[in-house]
Amino acid sequence: MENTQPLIEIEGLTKVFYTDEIETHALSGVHLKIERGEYVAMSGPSGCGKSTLLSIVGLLDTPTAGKYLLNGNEVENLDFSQRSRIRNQEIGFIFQSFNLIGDLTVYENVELPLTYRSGMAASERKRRVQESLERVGMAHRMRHYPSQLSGGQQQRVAVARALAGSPSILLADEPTGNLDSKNGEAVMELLRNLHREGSTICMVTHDPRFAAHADRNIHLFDGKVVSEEELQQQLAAIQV
Amino acid sequence: MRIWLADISFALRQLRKAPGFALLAVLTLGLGIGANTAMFTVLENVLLRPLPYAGASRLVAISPVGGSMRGATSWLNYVDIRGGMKNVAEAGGYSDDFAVVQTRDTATSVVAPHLTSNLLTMLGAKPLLGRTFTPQEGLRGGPQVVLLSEGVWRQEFHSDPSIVGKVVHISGEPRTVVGVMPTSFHFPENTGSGIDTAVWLPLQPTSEMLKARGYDFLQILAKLHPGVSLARGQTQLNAASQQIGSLNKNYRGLKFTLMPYSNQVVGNIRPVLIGLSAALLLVLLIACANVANLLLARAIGRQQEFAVRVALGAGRYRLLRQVMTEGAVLSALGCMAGLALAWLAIVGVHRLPPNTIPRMQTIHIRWTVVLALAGIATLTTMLSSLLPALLVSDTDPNATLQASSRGVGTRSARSKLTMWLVSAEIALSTLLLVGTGLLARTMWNLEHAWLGFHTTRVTTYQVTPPNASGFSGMQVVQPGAQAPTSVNTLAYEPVLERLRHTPGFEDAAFTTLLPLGGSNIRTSYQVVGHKVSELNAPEALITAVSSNYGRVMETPMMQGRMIDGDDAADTTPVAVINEALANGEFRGRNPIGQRLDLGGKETGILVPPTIVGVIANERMNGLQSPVAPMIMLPAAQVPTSSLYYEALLNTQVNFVVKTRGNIPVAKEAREVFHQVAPGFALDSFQTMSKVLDHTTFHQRLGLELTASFAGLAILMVVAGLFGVLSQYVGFRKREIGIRLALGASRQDVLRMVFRQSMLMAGYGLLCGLAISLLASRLIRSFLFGVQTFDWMTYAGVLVVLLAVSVAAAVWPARQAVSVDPMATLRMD
Ligand SMILES: Nc1ncnc2c1ncn2[C@@H]1O[C@H](COP(=O)(O)OP(=O)(O)OP(=O)(O)O)[C@@H](O)[C@H]1O
Ligand SMILES: [Mg+2]
Repeated sequence: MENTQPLIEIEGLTKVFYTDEIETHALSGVHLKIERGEYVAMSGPSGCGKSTLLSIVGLLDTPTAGKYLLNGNEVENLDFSQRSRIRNQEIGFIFQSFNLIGDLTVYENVELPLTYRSGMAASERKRRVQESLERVGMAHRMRHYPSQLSGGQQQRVAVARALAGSPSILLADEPTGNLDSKNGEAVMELLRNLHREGSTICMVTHDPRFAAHADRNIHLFDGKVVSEEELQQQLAAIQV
Repeated sequence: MRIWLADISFALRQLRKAPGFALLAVLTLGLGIGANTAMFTVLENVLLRPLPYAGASRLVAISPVGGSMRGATSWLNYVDIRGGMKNVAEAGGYSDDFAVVQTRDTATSVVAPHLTSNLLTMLGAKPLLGRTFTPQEGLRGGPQVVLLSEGVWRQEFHSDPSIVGKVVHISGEPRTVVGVMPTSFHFPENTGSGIDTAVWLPLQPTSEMLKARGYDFLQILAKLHPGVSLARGQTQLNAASQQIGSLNKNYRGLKFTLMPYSNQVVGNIRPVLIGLSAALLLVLLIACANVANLLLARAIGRQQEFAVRVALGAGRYRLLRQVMTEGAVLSALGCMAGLALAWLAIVGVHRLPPNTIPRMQTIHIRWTVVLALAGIATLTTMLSSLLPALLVSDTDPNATLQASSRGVGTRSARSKLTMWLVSAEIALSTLLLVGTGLLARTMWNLEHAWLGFHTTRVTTYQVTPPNASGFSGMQVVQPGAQAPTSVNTLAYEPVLERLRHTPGFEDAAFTTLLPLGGSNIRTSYQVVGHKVSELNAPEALITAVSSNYGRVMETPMMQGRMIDGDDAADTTPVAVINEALANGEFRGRNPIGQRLDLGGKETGILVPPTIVGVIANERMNGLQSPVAPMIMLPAAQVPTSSLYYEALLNTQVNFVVKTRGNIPVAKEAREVFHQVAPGFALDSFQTMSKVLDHTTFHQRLGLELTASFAGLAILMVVAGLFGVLSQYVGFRKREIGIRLALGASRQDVLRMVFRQSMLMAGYGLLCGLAISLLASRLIRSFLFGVQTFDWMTYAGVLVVLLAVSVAAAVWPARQAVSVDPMATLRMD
């Protein structure tokens, strides 16, 4: 079944944080479309709202206003348990600090999202875990604990965990931020391969080298999506 | 020293920074320590501290093996034993008795032990005023003297400083006061608070005592010569009893045994106290586990701090000492709280009904207790902080400082340990709960058991004639001498008649043996036509009752008729026996019409009474001992010339009054006696349900104490579970955040927390139930009508503890559910 609709369609999205009587406009009117199979890199200065946008896309957070269609379905007003379910099935997260669970083995960490799905047979879970670990080249470390792995290895396991549920989109927030350049390179290589195999990826990165891997670059500035030229202008304005 | 002070001040600052933690720990410890200190105080006073007599450790009680009246023997046996043991011990004797102290306007029934004249010297007792007894005063026909207790001296004689040498009236006889004993003198022990207002009389053998070897009324107390072992004393005692047997053919095979007097005093309370101490130790262990957990939780929370300290060069020993100091400070504070609680508890002990615990009057907190407290505090410090201290001192700074970049949470032995500690707490409280459950079932059974009579609206009280002779003064009136008129005809019958017509009173009667009253007057008897040898003659409880006794108590007749008003002094003597005697003696044959030989000339019952009825068994001595065979005689038919008259009637009797509602009877009863029979002492007014309460007192006390210990334990378990689960959730906030991000639903998270709680409870319960199965045998002797494996109790405990573990998890679970995945993940 061929779906011509964009995977993600966001219009006029705003997010306001209220803390101690201070309003922070983290996002103010974001328009964004991501097609199936696209590899999008998002960049912008610190505090411009990249993580906020990513977590709204990932249904971890809800927007203050605006429209969000995921797979053609409105998702901005869903309740907690509905969002949990969609997150579990459609979204794969990769965090800057890996966020593996220390008390669980590599295998159990990867299996985790699958255990939150009702009605999946144990054999099917096992197959999927195996497969995604093989895809990131960590199958031989299945019985290890995260503390026994290097940072790069941990991030590869985190990628495997994101893949295990066969999500519609992988969201990565500075996946190389805690890694040295060699390990960072390896993780980026991994993401590129996944993209080649058909995965949709939306990644936040500061590093222009890694942004170049992507099909499309989005620039965020002060809670808005801006074009390359606009960004340059704005940055220049600040410098003056 | 400086550093040590610095450690203490740092520990105090740490505690002040977390006042909730400190308060919880101090309270938990305080409860545990306080309860244990109170218990130790009782133990120390009752079991450990020597009795306050000269050479107390050499005092031994000598009693016949399988004897009839609670270890008592006769004067003649006493004299022979004293002689036979001369080389190894000095022997004296005493009998428990009572007397009426008369002053110008009052008659008070008091405890009046009769003592052989050497006994007080043997005990090394020093009088407050005057002197103790002289040898002359212990002889037959010797001077009539009395030793007053300080209590009687103050209350009845207004602390008259010149009381010594004055003549007072005791049970209708003039006696010269030779001395006053101080309140600290409590001999015989176990007499209860009555001993505070006792009088002591010299035991002067009557002709009856000098004649009848079967007249058992005397308790023998001996003091072994220094260096004589118990075994040697027993050997000598065996020789003496053999001698008695060889000279008196009826007493062949007579045996005596000797045991330390302190054992006799402490008696059957020892297992109760030891059981309760064990239960309390469990509570203390739970408290320690809780404090250990709190310290552990804090240690984990401060891992970073410790790592930094190590990185800055702190040695293992310094870290160890710092945590231990914190534990010690907590223990010290706990001790203070505990001491206050213990003091309150001891105040409570003194409020208990008299004679609940032997030597109760003398229970006080002493320096040994303070010493024990210090011991307990050290123990709790070690138990509660050694583990956390060792773990902390084992900190690997590198791992800890890098941990934050190495995945969330650590597969730590520490968090496992806290869970095991809580499981252990649950196991321990399972034990306590099972004990409580079994005792509660016992209590229910006791309260709903059929006693053989109804307690509703029945009030009882004791009546003592002014000239009561007591057990130590019994005599058979010689044939030919003028027999006195019975106190029954003179006083009791007219009194009963008046009582029955008092408004509000439905019926009244008296008995010489009150059901559940615990007294134990026995006689040997023979069924006429079934002669057996004298030593083998069967024994039964003997009581004299007025008419209407059966009606007041509502005890059903199994066969024949009850004693009634027509059984008078001049009609055929009759007797009613209880079911136990009917079944034991007659075994299916019809007892009605059979006659009982109650001793003939020797006792003064010349005509054997005819059995006219069989009455249902009444519980005489509590519910746990089997019902003894019993013979009831009509009070009107007890000849005043017989021994039974002195033993049963001309002594304390128990009136029972059935009222129409729940009304007090004391005022009316005293009024009637005052008019009809002045000079009689009336006391111990209580309802029959009170009497019943009294007999189940040990079980109830045991139940109430174990129940409160179990309640305490549950509170601590809730605190423990709650603490560990909150900590579990606290440490896993990030993990929960990740799980939520990965699509876990709220139910998944709830399930995770409850599962954790259930796991801890499950392990604990499993161990606890297994241990309980083994340990419950230890309390078997306190149980009544319930098996040690009572599935209802076990199921109940299971339900309670599971409920507790769910309840304790509710708040932490809510915390877990309210984790905001965004917020936790942002803390990169
Ligand atoms: N929970 C919150 N409460 C208040 N303000 C918030 C909250 N979360 C984000 N903000 C604010 O929203 C703005 C955008 O934050 P966001 O984390 O999206 O930035 P970012 O682009 O990811 O920055 P960085 O590159 O440093 O990660 C910031 O000003 C931040 O302070
Ligand atoms: Mg960010």
